[in-house]
Amino acid sequence: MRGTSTTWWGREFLEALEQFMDPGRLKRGRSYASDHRLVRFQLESGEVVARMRGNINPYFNVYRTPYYNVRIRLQHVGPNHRDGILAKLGANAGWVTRLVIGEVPPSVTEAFRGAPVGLLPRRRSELRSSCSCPDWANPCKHVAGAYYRLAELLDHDPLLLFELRGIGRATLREALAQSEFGSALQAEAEERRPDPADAAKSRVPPELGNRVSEASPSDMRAFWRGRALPPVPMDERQSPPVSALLLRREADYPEFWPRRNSFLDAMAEVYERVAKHLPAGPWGRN
Amino acid sequence: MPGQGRAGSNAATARRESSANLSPSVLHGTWLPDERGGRFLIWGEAALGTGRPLPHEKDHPFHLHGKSLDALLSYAWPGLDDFGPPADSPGKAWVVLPGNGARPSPSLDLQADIEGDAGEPTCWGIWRVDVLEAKDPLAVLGCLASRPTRGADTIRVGQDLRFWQGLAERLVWAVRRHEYLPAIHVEARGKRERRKKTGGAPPWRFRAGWELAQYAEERIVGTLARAMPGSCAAMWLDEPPDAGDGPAMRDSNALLHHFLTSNLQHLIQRTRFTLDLMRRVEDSFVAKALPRMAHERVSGFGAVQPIGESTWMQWARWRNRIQRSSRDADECVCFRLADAKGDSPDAWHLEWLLSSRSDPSLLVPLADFWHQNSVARPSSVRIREVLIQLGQAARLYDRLWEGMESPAPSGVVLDRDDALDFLRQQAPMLQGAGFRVIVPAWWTSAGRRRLRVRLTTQGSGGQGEAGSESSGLLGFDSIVKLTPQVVLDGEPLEPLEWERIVAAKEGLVEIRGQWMELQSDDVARLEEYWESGGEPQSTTVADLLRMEADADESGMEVVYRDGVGQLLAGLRNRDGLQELAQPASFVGRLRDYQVRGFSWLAYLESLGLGACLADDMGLGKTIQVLALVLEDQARDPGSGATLLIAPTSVLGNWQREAARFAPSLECRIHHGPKRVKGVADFKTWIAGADLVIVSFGVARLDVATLSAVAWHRLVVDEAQNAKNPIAAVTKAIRRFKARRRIALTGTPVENRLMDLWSLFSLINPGYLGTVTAFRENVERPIMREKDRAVTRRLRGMVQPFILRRMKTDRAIIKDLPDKVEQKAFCNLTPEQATLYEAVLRKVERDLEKAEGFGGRGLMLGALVKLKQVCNHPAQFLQDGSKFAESRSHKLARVCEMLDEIESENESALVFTQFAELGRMLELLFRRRYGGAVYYLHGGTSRVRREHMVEEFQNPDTERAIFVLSLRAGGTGLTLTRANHVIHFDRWWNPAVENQASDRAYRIGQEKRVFVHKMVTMGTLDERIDELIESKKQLAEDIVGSDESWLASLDIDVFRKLVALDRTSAVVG
Repeated sequence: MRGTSTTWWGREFLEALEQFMDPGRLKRGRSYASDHRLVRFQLESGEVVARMRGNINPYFNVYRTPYYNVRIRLQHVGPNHRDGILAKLGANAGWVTRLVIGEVPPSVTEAFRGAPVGLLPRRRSELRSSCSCPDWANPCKHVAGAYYRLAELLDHDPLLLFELRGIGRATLREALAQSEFGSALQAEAEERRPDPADAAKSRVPPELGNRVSEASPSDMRAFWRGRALPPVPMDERQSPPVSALLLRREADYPEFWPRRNSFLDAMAEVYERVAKHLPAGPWGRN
Repeated sequence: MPGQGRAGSNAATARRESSANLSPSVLHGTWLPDERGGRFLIWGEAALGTGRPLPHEKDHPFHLHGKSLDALLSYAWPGLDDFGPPADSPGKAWVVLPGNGARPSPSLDLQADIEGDAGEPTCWGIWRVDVLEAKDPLAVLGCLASRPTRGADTIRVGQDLRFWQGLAERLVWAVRRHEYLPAIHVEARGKRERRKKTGGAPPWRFRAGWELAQYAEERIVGTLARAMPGSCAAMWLDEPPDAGDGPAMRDSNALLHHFLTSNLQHLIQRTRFTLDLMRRVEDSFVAKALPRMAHERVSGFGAVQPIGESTWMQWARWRNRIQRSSRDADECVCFRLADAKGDSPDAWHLEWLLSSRSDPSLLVPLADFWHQNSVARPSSVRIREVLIQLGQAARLYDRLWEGMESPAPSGVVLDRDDALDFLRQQAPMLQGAGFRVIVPAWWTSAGRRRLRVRLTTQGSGGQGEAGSESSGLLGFDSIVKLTPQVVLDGEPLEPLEWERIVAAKEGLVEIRGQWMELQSDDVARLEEYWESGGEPQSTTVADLLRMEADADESGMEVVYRDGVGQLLAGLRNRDGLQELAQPASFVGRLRDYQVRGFSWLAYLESLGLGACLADDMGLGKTIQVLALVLEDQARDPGSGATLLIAPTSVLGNWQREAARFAPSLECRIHHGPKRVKGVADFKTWIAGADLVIVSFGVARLDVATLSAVAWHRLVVDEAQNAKNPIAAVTKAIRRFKARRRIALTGTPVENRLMDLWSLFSLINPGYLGTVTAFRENVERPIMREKDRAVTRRLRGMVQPFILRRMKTDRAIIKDLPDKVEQKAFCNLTPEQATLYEAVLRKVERDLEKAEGFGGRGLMLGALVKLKQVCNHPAQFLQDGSKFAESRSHKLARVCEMLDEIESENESALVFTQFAELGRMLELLFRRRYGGAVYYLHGGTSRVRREHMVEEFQNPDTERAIFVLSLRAGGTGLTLTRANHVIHFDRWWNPAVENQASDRAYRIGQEKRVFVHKMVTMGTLDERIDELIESKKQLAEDIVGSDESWLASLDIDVFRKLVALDRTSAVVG
């Protein structure tokens, strides 16, 4: 559902908006965050620049589909403070690690201490917006729609927040890369691009590699018996302490997950149901 | 298991049917990879062949026809219905088999059932067989692992199927451990398909599915690939391609991988998911990897659904990060929780350290890692590894992020509640995810501190207070007084300490300068005892033992003090057992452990409690019991007779051993159709007897008579025969009245729960509760839920009453020589006795006719025939009649011994001088013990002989039984894998027997060797034995190594030698 967020920073961003603006007005813009409405949405020098499809409205003498231009700007930190913030970020192992894996550390605000603004908006005055529509109220539906789209994008792209504050993506990356932690993690972030051709090759074809038997036909034991199987060791017979433990090596809401409910929660239930429905055998019942 | 409930009632019919309708058959099966994702096919071999004309020259000549295979499977495993003809093929497949060009060789499992030597296979051949497809392979494999409900003696499951079962088991465990992840498989499109699609269709297609965690797959394939029988890789749906130098086989690694991947999809496809859950994954590729509800089941590598390359790319990155083997890096992050110091109880430092997988003792605090040397910081490769590992750990436990927010992360400080949460929840989770966690010693199971209630036994000493009225013995119902006290680390708790505990109620609390965890139930329970202020409580001995068994669980400890307490203390602590002297009337010398054994029996009897002596076979349970009876007789003459119940096959052995070691005992065997009937007569008959021996059969038949006597003691030998709680024989024995009760068994009893209950119902009735209560409260939690607490409690309850010593125990090894020779005495069955007498009569007549002329030959012939009768009627008659254990006590006894050897997972050699008997034994043993049976005789080719020996000796093969003809196998071979040697029949010359025994007892033997010599009492067999014994003193050159010298004996001597002593020989 629009207007909800899966990350803490996305949620806080929305909460801040709701606090500064008339919530009723804001919510009217939800449907304007759709692809149908948003013809263009991009960042230009730390500012949201969007183009929206409006409604035909004879009352306002609008007889053809109108298009409106929306701009949103958060107050930038300014070049003086920027370098200080970048230095603090780079010296903190936890912040660097989380930013590199695509999360915003909750305590990152501390890096902004001393600067006129934090990472997330705290005052109404930090937000400026404009729209070319005839509606005088602010936010209009179009601005509200752009806000929602912005919050949605933040979930998967926390660096966007920095960009809105005037710390460009390239600047941030470069600064982090120069720090000790950042450079160490760089290689991890720029892992080799996976290639479907490799994956297709590594798949075992059904006509598995034919070969002539290496064993002699007179070795009846090798052919009919093989070797005695060792029993499954006890430490390989324990369920994990938490469901879907393997998947928890990565964060919830992975990139390929298009949904707003938790990926890990859903998977945890999948794994438990599978384990419950296993067929009976010498390995025991469920 | 399906259909097991019916097994009992139908067993008789089934056996009849199976022996009438089924020829011995072996089931095979293997995984056949194909485009659909693969299928599991089952086929079979039958000893008698298909019985139909073969329409195709390449048809396998003795495979099971499709319909017969179908019928056989439903007959043997009625619960199995998930198979049928393959969906899209003619129901036939091709197998590559070893053979001689004209015919395939029967599989090793089938060879047992085919007469004659199958001959050496010389080349590979391809054959067509009928197949059935297992629709749900893992369910079918699981079901086939259970014993067939019907036809168990003719139907065998081949090792290839067993191998797949082993693989299936590992897959199931990996799935239970959640060691797999959703996946998008990539398949290259065929050229034709790409050409057909215009507009440049992408060269590959993406399918949603699942894959195993890399480390899980490596683990499974790594252990199993080497073990795979070749037959698993030898099946093709179409005629096998030629691989250049013969028909092609499949690659084992690839085959395993294919089975695992494909069946992982099957396992998920067979799961039912709720609609709610399906909604929660809708629109994601995961939805496509789950079964489509209410549609046809999707098998193989997921459904064909359009998944875009960008989704695949996102998934692939995610997957690579998860599958990347940070487990391979040698340096790993480790977490250590340090105690809070007394003045700041809310500062628990969770310290991070760097450890090494190759050397876990190496621990460097992460704080030092960052500042290792002032000039250079650690390399960026190492920093990355540390950050990634910390980041992965922080994902699981997000308090760790806090500690990472530093230029030199080294740990995080937790308050008391968080520390408890870390210990209870987070530490096991981090460990489960592969991180190393070091918790304070007081949290580990070994060092855990716990408040306990100490119960100290009280009693003024002597038995007056606690003894039960009649016998003057203690008993389960005797009353014991106990004083309770709350203790910590063995020291009584001070009132001030108690106050702190009550104030804290739960969580971590520091007492006596050390932390401990308080559990709220514990505190509530202890309050009761604390407030009672040490008021003594009364309880029965049985309840005290039950309470003690549960002590660890319930936080109790029992301290035995004073008279009664000291008596009971020995139940748990056998070190303090008072050793008795060997009874004066015992002939021979008891070994030290045997003295301890009989002293232990006497001790338990003195408490009025029943006991089970469960020593390994060969350690002399019989003479320990004889010593006990003698001891009793000396101390308390006229106390009454001991009733001994034993299998028919060992009645003679008891009799002989009693005569040898305890000749002063008056010993009677109550057996046979002419045995005394009626209570009054029976009582007269047993007057003055010390030991009355009956078989299980007679115990059941004469239950009225036997239960009318007040026995002094009841001994049940081979008590596993009374393991079925509801069998008539068990019920009968339970009715016998005896003051003292002892059970003997050589097979481990503690693992089979209902057997254990049954055993205790004989020796200590009522102690383990009713059978229903036991099933409900003990068997079910242990079998179904694998409840370890219940297992521990049960062990605690039964352990005081079972003495089990193994041949391998250090204390026993000291006492025993490296080679222990024992004789196993047995009787003749009435059938054998009749045959024996018939042979005697015939030879008498013939000798008279021959009048010395040709007498030598006659005598020799008679000797051979009599030996055959002693072995088994079927060997003598050679009429193809059934080689049943019931027809020969000797055979029955040997089988019982082999059962015990098998349960110990040990190997045995069985020597006989008769080739035809060897063959019969081989077939019987194969049927009883599965495939691992070898037979070596004069006709075995040299190649085959070397091959068998090599296999038998190979530590990679399973334990086995090796049947050898004395002549062909008695010399030269090294068979040290075996540590039991059984001489089924006796040879005249001890040197020849010893030489045979030395196949096992020689350099390379690491275990103690047990030589069992079978002797049929009252017959030629026993006289040969006596002769050998006396001959040991004679120079060996007097007798040659053959039997010819016997025939030169005087006819009267010969008569004496072969005469039948019916009184000692026959037991029906």
